Amino acid sequence: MVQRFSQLLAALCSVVAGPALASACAVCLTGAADDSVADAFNWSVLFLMATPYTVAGAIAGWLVYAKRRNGASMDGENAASVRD
Amino acid sequence: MARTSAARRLDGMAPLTTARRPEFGGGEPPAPPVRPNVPIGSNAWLATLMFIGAELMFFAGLIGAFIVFRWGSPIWPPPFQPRLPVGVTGVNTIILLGSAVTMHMGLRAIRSGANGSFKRMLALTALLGGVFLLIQGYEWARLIHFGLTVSSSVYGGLFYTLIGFHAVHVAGALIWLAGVFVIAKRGGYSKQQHTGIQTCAMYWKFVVALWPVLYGLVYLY
Repeated sequence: MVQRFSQLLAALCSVVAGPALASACAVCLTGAADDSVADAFNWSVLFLMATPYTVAGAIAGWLVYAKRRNGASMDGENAASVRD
Repeated sequence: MARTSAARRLDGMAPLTTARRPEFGGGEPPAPPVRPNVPIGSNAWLATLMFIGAELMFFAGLIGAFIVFRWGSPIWPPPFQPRLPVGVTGVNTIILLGSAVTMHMGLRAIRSGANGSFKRMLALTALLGGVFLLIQGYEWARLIHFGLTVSSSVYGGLFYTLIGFHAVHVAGALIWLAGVFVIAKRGGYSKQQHTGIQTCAMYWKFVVALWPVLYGLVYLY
């Protein structure tokens, strides 16, 4: 367990300490250049990556909220019927 | 096998003896209140929610394409292109936002059982949505006259793609609203059953909420 954690920590440190290693990908290398088109692509990709999680999270959050509101109203009705 | 206290009562048998009554320390504890397994929404409501999610992803793709061209161009809007009618479209935006208010008022009216007010609000919503489309069409005709077409430039292609798809969605919502209005006129909706209104209102509000985002991106930014 400790050994696995140490290996993971070493891997993360190497990624953080050596960003040049990540430029092996052609897209990343292109994006690192000071170019407006490359920046535009980067931002567009980030936006499109974030959107599915945002949409799915919003739908799931709404469903959870609706379920809890439904449950709270049911508990209120049950308590009222028990009192009656 | 010993019968449960509830089963004995249902059978109408003789009352329990003192030794078996719960308040004297005997017998089973009272059963907890049963919460029925009621779904949080109808299937149509859930399906509309999923559909709206898919439409959001569709528009996210178009907005992503706009971001690439917008931020990738050093000068925007490109030179020698007609300027967009920001002011008129701003008024049009207020008209469309008003239609969402009237739609919500219609939904509240049917939930409270006010059928007359509900139909009036539906008609007003359709009217405002139709006015929005008419103004958009008129402005497009003027832009085409001044030379901004789908094929004239990337600017024109992006404009008509983004705004055009939104207009198609508004037109689809209008057709849906027309169908809902016809059913409402025949008395198909009530305070207890109005899922059709609810789903139509969801889609209408989605289409309306999308417009300020597109207006801000395409017209103002």
